[in-house]
Amino acid sequence: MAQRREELPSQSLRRAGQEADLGALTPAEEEAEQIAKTRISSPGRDAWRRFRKNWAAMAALVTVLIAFFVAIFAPFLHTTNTATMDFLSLNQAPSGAHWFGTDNIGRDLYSRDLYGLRPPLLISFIGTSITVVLGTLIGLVAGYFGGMVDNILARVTDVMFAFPGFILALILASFYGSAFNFMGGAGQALILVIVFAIVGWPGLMRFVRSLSLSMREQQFVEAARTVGSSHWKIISRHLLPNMWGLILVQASFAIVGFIYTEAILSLFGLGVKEPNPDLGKLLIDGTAEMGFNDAAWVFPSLFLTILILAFTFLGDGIRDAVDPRSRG
Amino acid sequence: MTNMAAFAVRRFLAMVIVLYLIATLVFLIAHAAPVNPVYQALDQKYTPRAAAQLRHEFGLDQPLWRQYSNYIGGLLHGDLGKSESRSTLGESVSGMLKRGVPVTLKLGFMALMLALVVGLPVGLISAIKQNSIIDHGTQGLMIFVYAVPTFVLAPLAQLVIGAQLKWLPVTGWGDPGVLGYKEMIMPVCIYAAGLAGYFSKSFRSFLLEVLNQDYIRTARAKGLQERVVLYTHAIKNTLLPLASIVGPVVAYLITGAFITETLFSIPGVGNFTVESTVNSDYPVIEATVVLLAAFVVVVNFLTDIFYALVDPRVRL
Repeated sequence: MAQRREELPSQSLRRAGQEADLGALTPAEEEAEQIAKTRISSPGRDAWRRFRKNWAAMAALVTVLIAFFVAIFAPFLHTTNTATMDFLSLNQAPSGAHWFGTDNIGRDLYSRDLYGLRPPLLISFIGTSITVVLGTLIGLVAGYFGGMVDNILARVTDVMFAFPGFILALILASFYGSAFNFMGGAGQALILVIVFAIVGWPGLMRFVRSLSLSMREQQFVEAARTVGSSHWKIISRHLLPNMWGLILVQASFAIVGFIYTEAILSLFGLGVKEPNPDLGKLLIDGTAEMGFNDAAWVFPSLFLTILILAFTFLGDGIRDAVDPRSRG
Repeated sequence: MTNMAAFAVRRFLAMVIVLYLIATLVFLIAHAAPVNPVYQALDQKYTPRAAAQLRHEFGLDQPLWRQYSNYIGGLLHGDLGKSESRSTLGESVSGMLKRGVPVTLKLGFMALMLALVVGLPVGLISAIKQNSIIDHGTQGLMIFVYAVPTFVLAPLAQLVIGAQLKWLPVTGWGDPGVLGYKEMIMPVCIYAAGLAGYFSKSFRSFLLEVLNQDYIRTARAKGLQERVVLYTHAIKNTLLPLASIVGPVVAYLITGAFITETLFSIPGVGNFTVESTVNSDYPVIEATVVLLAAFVVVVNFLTDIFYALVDPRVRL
């Protein structure tokens, strides 16, 4: 972000030059500009360059983008209504009419698997976003200001952190799940989002807090303080730009955890309710048909595994790109 | 040593406060919930009279603060109350826990041991042979078993090894005789798979980090055998970071077993915790959650103490 500020004057100057019709740049000037452009490097740009060279990470990124694309555009990609039951074709193997076969009440599994991508992606994505905002905000405030503020916030976080997150998710989903039975299944998704946000932030808060604790003592922050920058400016201009890469790594691992937990809650019957399709639910229902309708559990298992692998490799890739020294 | 004692006391007090707050939080979550446990317990036999009687029996007709003090007092005395759900109505929670906890701990510790026995040597070999085919092959496999979720791996194993090849029983736990051990193999291996991948991945990177240090170069430069460098210089220095990842794994050993227990119908804590959440069985949920949280908090406390003993800087 600091970099962008430095670029601005030159850009405005150039624009001014063009408006004043000073003519095209000479080859020498153009070359100089080219060099200046290539030499401009920011932590973000360097990280992106390293990330692009890592084929596993790029493959993971593409997979994640495809998954989001499929989930968003499911209404244009599906073949049959997900709730339509065809009693003449129960538990069918994959065929031209039903690409992934049908389930035990004759619903098209291709369409259900497509729509089934939505709950895990949506819930984990929103849950992670809230986790990141809460965790970063509280962690920054606690770590940067220290003293009494830090003491109170850190103790509250300790209690939340000691609480086994999965159990908290389990009891919240089971006690409050039934109360959120509205908007055709969106209510259940909402309770899971809230649950994940509550479960997720303490871990990230501790991470951000320790980062800002160590960064607060470094010279560039001291320099910023010496020239009279406000707290807000130091946090937003100096601390955050140096942290967001590492926070992004934590976020992608949080998404993995949330996708995993969402599937497990579905397994215990606490996730998104019927007739809404959900990959975890499809997987569990499919295992009941194991042995004679394998397409019913193979495809959801495959999709869930690919999702989890993709986000894991994405997180690893971002970490290697942001912090090359940590590479094993 | 005095500041060690002060550190231990300070951490112990913090632990007690955290435990108390967790117990309170669980109580509040359970009692603010918009579900009626009495209604669920009676189900078909619901009459206002029976409900009132059950309410009285479980003390649910008392004011909330009274229920709270009963609950905290019970916890302090080790009295965890009685089950309120239909299938186990009136059974004491401590009895249920006494049956479930050993099963879960056995599963967890066997899986942990297996994961350490497999994961650490694999991590060691791939660190020594860094960037060789062996390294890439084993690490690829380890990342795979680490990332493939249990709920995918378990049904697959049950289908192939259990139902089709008939080598091992599909579900169950602890029947007497040879079958008992056979039943344990699959769940323990499945539970250990993810942990083994995690350990080997982490141990490899710890070891590589240490092997890049100056003192390793010094040890090699003065002509020590590679074996001595590796075992006395390198591995010793990976023990502390290793403890920092094994500690939390131990703390979450019971919670981590939930999925394995459910998929293999193992009668452990996870199994009846899940059942009690579905049945809104307050006393069982309160007791198990407090117990599991206590386990996590106590193991974290012990890890901290261990750290402080090994690394004096932590005590400050």
